Amino acid sequence: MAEQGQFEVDTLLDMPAPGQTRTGRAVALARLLHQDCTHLLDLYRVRESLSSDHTPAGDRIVSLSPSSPDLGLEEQVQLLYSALRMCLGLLECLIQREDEEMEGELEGDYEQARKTVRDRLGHLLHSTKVLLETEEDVTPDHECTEEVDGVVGSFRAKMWTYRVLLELTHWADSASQTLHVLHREREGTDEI
Amino acid sequence: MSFSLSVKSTIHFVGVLSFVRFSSSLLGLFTTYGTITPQSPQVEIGKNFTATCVLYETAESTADDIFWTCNGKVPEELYTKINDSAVSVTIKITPDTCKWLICNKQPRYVNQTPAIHGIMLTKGYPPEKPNNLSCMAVQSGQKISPILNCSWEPGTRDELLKTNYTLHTSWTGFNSSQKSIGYINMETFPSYCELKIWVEVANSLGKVQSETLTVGDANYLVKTNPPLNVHIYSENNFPRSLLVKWRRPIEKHFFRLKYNIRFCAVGSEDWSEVPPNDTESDVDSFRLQHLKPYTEYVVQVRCMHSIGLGYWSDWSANATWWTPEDKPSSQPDLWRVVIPSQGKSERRVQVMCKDPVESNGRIRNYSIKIQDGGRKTVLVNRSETESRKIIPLYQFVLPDDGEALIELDACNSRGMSPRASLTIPKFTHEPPSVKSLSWFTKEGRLWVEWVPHRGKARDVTEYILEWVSVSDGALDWQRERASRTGLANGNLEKFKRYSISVYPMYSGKTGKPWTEPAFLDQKAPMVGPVVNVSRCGKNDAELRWMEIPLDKQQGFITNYTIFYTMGKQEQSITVSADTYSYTLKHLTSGSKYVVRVMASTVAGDTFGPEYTFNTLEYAPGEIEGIVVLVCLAFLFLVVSLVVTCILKMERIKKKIWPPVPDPSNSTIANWSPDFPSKADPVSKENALGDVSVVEVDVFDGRSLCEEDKAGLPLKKDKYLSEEHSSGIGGSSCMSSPRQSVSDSDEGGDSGQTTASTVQYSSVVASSGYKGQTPQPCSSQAQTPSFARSESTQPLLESEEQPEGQEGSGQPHLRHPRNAYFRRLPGGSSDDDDNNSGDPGDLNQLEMEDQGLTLLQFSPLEEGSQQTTPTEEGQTPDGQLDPIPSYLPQLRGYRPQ
Repeated sequence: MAEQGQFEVDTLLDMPAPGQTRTGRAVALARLLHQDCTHLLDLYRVRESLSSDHTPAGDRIVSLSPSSPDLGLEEQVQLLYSALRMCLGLLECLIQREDEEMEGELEGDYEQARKTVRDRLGHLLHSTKVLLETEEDVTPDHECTEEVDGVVGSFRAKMWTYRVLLELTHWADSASQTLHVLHREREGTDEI
Repeated sequence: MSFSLSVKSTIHFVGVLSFVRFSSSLLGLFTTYGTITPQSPQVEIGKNFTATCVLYETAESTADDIFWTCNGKVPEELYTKINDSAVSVTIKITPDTCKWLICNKQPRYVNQTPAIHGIMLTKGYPPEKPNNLSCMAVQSGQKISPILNCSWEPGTRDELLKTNYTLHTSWTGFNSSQKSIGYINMETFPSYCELKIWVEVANSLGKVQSETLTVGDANYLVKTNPPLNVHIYSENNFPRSLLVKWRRPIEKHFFRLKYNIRFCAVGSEDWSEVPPNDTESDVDSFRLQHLKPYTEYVVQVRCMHSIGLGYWSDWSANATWWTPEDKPSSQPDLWRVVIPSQGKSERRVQVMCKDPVESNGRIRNYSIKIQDGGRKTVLVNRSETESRKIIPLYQFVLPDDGEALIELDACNSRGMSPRASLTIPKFTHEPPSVKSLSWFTKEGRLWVEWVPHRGKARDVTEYILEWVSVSDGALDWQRERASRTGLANGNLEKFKRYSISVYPMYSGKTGKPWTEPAFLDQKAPMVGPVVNVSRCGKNDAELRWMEIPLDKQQGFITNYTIFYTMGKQEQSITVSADTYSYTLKHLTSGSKYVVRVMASTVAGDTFGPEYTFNTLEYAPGEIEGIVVLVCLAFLFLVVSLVVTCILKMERIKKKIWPPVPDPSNSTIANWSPDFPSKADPVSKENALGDVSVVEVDVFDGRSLCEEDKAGLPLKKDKYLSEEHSSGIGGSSCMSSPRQSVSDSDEGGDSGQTTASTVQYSSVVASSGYKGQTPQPCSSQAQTPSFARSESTQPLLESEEQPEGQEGSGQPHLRHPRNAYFRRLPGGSSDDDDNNSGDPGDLNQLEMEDQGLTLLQFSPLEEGSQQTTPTEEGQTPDGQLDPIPSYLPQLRGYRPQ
């Protein structure tokens, strides 16, 4: 029985566990990120008393070239990776701005969830990078240059935050789907 | 000479010891003569270390003058001369290597300090590689804690040097580590991410890191909370099944789980585990099967990552529930106790039972049938926790020549059990018992072994192992099938005596039992024997004590030891366990003994109370024997005396009563007084008033008194002089006669010619003066009567009576009358009066002393009777008639 036991480090844990592959773990991670983004969005809606039906106006913040059926799966993952990097940049900006706005206040569930999404997004970027076997950096790809009314705490700023969180949720979901396709492509099974 | 600080000198503060040369002054200035490189080295044990000593010019010495010390002088072969002012030394560092390595120079002066410089060697080992690194992250709320806790096994060597441990992961985070444990906070746990973990150990001698722990998914390291809300459900149609349901402790997005389920009956710690393969899938319920009906079960569930390389969660809290009832699937355990009736050829049978082992429900009643009798139902009313208790069912009397078949069914709410039966055979037809029975204890349990009866072993279907507590009569039994050994499964208590019996069962018929006493464990008896002495003799004593009650023996009595003490000397005697009396012998007579008896078991001894007794001074009958012997000796002596007396009668007579001369032959008979024997009437009358010679019966005191009453005083000077001295006698009619005799003899004896001369005369002075009225005898004897005899015959012993008795007035026995004296007739009728203690008695005795012979020779015996005082002899005025009994003796004495 393996209760409270420790396992052999080099022989077992270096190898992918049976039934779990890198693509499978990436899919699971993307789903977990999506879960976290949804949770964060819910917390934000609660905090800002926003209705779930309310959708902020405007185009997508992160927009890539329209997906083409001609793009290969690897390219789609590459685009996904880029989009996630942008999302990470946006989230960093969001955190920076909100921290400036909420300076000195205690960290609540929202802030904790926000940090979790940021870290989890970084984890997903790492996993995707491994899948892509690319040397591209996983640093955020966004400069916090947007002018959001220039007024901290304004409605536009909140809508921007809302849009960022929606964007995160969207791309997390997109990542889980894309990676699942990749997993199915690579492993030949839907089983994660 | 003044000292100055050399410009080349270096002052070392910490870890460096400088040996300086002090002056006689107290200024504290000092000069260094050299230095050692390296300074404050941390040296590795097991390696060689080289130090170099460089002399300054102030040393005024050369390299040849240098020598090294390290707990003693370092051998010169380890030196290497570098130049004229520098010498190096290479030593191997061991744990025992000195702490200080000192460079010295040969002193030039006597008082010169040889040390130049020294360094402290800090020894140690390079860090050891940690092993067995393991890490774990626990569930925190609905997520996984970002803190990864790790532990490892550090090196086994004593570190000696300051060592730092640092925990590293492939994900950044704050870490904190100690020697064997550490944690790292990664802000967010990197689920589904590859994670590498290692430990780096560093000290001044080096740095080393552990093997890297790499996990393809950090979730493998997660230990979740136990499953939540574990519940059990039973279904009536499935008495051997329970449905277990639970809820997963963590969101499914994190990872899939697998489960472990274990269960056991309440009260048992023997857990049964559901095969892991049955719960590998991420499910939230499971049906337990092949359970016992009507049994309360405890179920626990745990979980872990489905891949199974992580850590199991703790077991969930207990969930308990009963399986539904089913009809009994085994027989009730039927048994009996047979008690023989005293004086009757019958037995009393108590039927009892225990619930079926597989009762599958609560037994509500038993249906019992004895031989051909009707079936009777015994209701069972008890709580659910009292299952398997002994239930007395029925009692009946069975003749010794009768046989009884007992049938029993147990019923619960679902149905009836298989039937149990038991046959009690005729008393004289009981099948044989086992051949032998023995028991032993092992690990606090009682084991019983038996040897089946030869030839009947094949007929035995099972054995009943029964044990009965001797102290409280509690009984229990168990069945052993086809076995020769049984472990008593009851709650046998230590130090209690049990009767262990084995009954062979011949197809339901009970055989004869074989019974042995047994103890699960033994210790010293609870109480000691109470001893007492049933018989105690001069040199022995019989001791008796009662057997210690069986429930207080606490073990088999192996022996008794008798301790008996006299003074400080104690002796002991050991007797067997079946001895309850003992006779102590060779005791000291008339001594105090303290005795006590110690009872022993294999596990200890206990003394009984002390008893004190004294041995006898004499043996029984010894005193009686002595008394008999003394009596016999006395009797013999008496007989001897009597015989001697008889044989020597005449001689004794002569000794005691010397022969008295016959008065008739006495010369007094022919004695012619100076006076004419025939007096004239006048003078006679007067003479009668003055002097009279009376016959005095020695035993008749009244004669003299009568004489006194007659007023016949005896005028005699001598007597009168005696009267004065007679006051000693008190109320006696006369004073001491002896004195009187003596006094009279004073003059008389001198005048005697021979001692044998006997003057048989009596002079009675009844009245001192003529005409004086005579005084009664009881009054003061103013008128002494005096009887004088010149006989030299010794006085009789009876005359030696003390005066006190004389005057006591109490009657006293008289000596037997001397055969030589005749009793005067006149005194016989007044014997009683004479015995009345009249002081005249004494006078009579005294008179007897002096006048026995006088009385003897009274010539007027016939006339003397007239002197007896009688009423007729009294005058009308009450005065005694002074009739003289003898002729007046006017001159009773010869002139002397």
